[in-house]
Amino acid sequence: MRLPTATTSKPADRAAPDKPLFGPVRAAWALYQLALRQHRHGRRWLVMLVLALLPILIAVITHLTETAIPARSLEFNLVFMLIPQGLLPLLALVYASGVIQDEQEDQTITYLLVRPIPKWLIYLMKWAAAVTAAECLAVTSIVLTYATIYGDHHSAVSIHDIIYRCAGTCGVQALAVLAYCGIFGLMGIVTRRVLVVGILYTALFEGLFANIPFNLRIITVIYYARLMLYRLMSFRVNTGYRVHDLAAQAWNFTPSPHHHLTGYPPDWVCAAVLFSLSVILSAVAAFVCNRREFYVKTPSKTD
Amino acid sequence: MPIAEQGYQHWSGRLSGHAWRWLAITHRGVQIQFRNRFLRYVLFAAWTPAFLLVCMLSIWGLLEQKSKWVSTVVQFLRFINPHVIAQPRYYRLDVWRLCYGYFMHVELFFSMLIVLIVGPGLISQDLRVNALPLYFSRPLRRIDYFLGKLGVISFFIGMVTILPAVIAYVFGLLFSLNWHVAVVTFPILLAAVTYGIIICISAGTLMLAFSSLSRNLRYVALFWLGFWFVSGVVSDVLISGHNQQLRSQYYHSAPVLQPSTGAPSGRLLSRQYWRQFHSYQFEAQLHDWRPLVSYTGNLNRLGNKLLGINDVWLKLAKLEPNRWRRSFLLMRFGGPWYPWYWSLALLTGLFLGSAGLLKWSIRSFDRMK
Amino acid sequence: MVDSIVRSHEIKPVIAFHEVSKWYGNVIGINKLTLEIGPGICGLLGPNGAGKSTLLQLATGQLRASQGTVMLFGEPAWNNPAINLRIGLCPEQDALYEWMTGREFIITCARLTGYRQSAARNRADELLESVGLTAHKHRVVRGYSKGMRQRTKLAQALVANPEILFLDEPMTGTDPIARRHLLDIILRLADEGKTIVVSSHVLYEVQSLTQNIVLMNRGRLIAQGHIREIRDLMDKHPHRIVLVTPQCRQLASILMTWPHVDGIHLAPDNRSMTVATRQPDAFYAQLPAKVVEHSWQIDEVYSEDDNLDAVFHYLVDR
Repeated sequence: MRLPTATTSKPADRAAPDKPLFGPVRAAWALYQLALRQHRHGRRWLVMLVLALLPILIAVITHLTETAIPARSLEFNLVFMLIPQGLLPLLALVYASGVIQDEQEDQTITYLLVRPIPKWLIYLMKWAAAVTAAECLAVTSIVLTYATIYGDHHSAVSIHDIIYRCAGTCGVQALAVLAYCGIFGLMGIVTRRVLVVGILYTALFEGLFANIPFNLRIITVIYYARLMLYRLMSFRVNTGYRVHDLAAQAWNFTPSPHHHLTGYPPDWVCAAVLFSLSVILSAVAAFVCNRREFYVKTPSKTD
Repeated sequence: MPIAEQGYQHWSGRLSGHAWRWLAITHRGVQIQFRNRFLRYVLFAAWTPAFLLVCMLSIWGLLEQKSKWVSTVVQFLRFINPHVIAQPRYYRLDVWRLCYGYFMHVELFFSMLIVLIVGPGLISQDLRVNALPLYFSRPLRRIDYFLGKLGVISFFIGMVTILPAVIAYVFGLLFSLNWHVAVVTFPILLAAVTYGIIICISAGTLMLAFSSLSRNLRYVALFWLGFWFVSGVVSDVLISGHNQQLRSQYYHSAPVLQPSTGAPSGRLLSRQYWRQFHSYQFEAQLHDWRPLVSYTGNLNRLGNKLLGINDVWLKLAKLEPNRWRRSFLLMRFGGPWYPWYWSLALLTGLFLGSAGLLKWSIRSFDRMK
Repeated sequence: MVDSIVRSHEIKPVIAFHEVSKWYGNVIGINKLTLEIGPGICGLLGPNGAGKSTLLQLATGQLRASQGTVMLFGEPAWNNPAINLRIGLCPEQDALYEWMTGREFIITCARLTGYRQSAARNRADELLESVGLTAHKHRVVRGYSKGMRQRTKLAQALVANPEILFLDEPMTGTDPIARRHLLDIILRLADEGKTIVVSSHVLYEVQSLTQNIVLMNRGRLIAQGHIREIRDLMDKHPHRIVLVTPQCRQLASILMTWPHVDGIHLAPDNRSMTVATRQPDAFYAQLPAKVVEHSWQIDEVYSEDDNLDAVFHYLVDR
């Protein structure tokens, strides 16, 4: 049996890789697309989608069983409590922590390391894809939750108000997801037990410290997101027996008599903190990744 | 003397029965897990509540003896009703139950964490490296394999629940200087051990079922996180919404006392009426299904029933003269109050589902690709 | 005792290791290795755990040497992504993007190398044809046989038309037909002028590719060069030459008087004998004359030592 004859053309005949100026750029873009495709494959995206649709399910159950809850109360419980404290950190943890670890576990990282792409760029492109996937799911969850809560046409809230609130929430929570991805991306590079550490971080920092009315909460992501949301929209709900400021009560804010948050960091500081946190942490992670070795088959360091 | 054959020699002994085959898998699994330094740290941290439990039982024993050693500590026990401190022997059983209840509540969290660390790779790694033929090519049944893997999880959960409970019990007895205490308090130890076993079996089979679904450790860990963490958050949200619903219903069902003065909707209710809301809320809790959504909530409910926590709080609440405050205490500290057999049924269903899933997913050599 | 036998090549080395050590915690993977590899096919041999994969990962820049330097074309291998345009690696681990088709996988690798989309497609088709996978290129990789997976890995290593090709255990798990295919491909690539480093613990596979070998054991370099040269330098172990003749005892009685014959072992059937000599050339020179003088009948003469297996076992098992 004869093999096909060699048809590998000489260097002059074939389409060679682009010159270094654009080659790495195209390669980086290809890596970003590959990472996005990887997120779409397998069962993980299905599990994460189910997770992202959980608030919608709860909204439906609540509509069916609790008829006297104002839509604003339900919105607060789901969009401003469940999603930011439960869903968003988990989404970011799942996607950002596996930026490099998933490839290492599947032993396919070799195919990336032997390409003419610097390791820091490999990290950044895969991190960007993780952020994209997490943001898409987060925004989808928020938008669908709003649609479920206010979609029954009986709500007293105007459509413009709903769109404004939805868009504002999506924008602020997108920043929060970006910050979480920075944190968990770095964790994924630094430790192998990122899921456990990530859950402990979420429970301790975003769950416990964020709800304590001391300055300790300035080290949490959710604090800054809450400040921006509080200034962006109203959380006062008329339950019939009194008017609640749901956010001030639940988030331990002390607003002024005119419901302003004086004495707290302004919005631009909050946005800057979240954005720069993600930039700095992803840069640090890329730097660490650039200097790290990735063991595929040979023995890793002993404990 | 003839020269002995150095080659292969056939072993003509008798194989032992299946009773202890699983132990080999458990033994090896535990050895491997103990190499994980992070796990050792978590186990160490999980023993801190055990230390506190020992202290509390010992202090109560000294309190019963009216020891002078305990006089300096009593001032730190002001959160306990003075009536209770004044009659330590009478309230011995109740305090022991409460201490064990809080201890097991904290250790439940550590148990879930330990299952997250130890459990994901138990079956998924075997699937990944195609190790199942190595197991089942030996005279090993599937049940031996499952029991062996379950034994690994149970060992570590037992280390943070059952073992500290037993040690604390022994210390409690020693500091009581009265062996009659053993007779009276033995049911508590039995309840704690039973609760520990329930956690082992329930969490263990569930984790093994998850582990058999994927060859990727991280996805298994995610399934577990989703079940544990997210179910708790969802339950809290549903309960919170329900409480708001109750408030609203209670408000709208109340008689109007006087014309509108300051209240936004024109209804002003007396403080007395609002205080009765806690009783209304407590009654609603007796049939509230929403806590069933939380996996750890169900385990907690069973633990409360085994340790008799609800009865303890009913007894302690009678010390409170105010009726509304009594309901508040029962609701805040004594719960959950929904029927315990709901949780039992749910956990039994989960167990059967997990066992069925394990049976389906690990079909000896048929599973191999 | 034979210590490191390092031959310096007259041709400028393509790959150069200088006093390289690599350790993982307390485990030494590579131990003070100095090695230069020139153009052509080089077989990297050693038992499991010898450090072959570590060496390849150091050469391809995946690992950083704990000590020493690793240079490719005079440039450092570590953290030098530009050099990846000149090298290709066929890794040992049987891991691919299982959900992709073979074609998609090669296209992805080509795009990751910097090809435009259209150029990547053409390049992928070209490579899949060269490795004989055209008929299966639209099948999902998960459904590939072991030989097809190895060829796919080889194709992705060739994407950038590299000057050096590193093949880590390329024949593992393949059947004889697939192995033959792979051997033919490797030989053809060598004919095209590529430098190929093939790592394996299967001696006859390497022997069918090249006589130029690097032997490793326990992280150390044992020997490098042509199999015959290495064998000749191993003065501790005499050559064994087998003579098949019906007149074993008569021949043996004469051969024992030769000063360069260390020993003779007669086969139980008296049909053949194994002569141990430290000067095989002298033995071969003298033997014909003696045979003619005494009119002995010699049916067969061959050496048991002129093969890689013997060289390997002598060096590794000592």
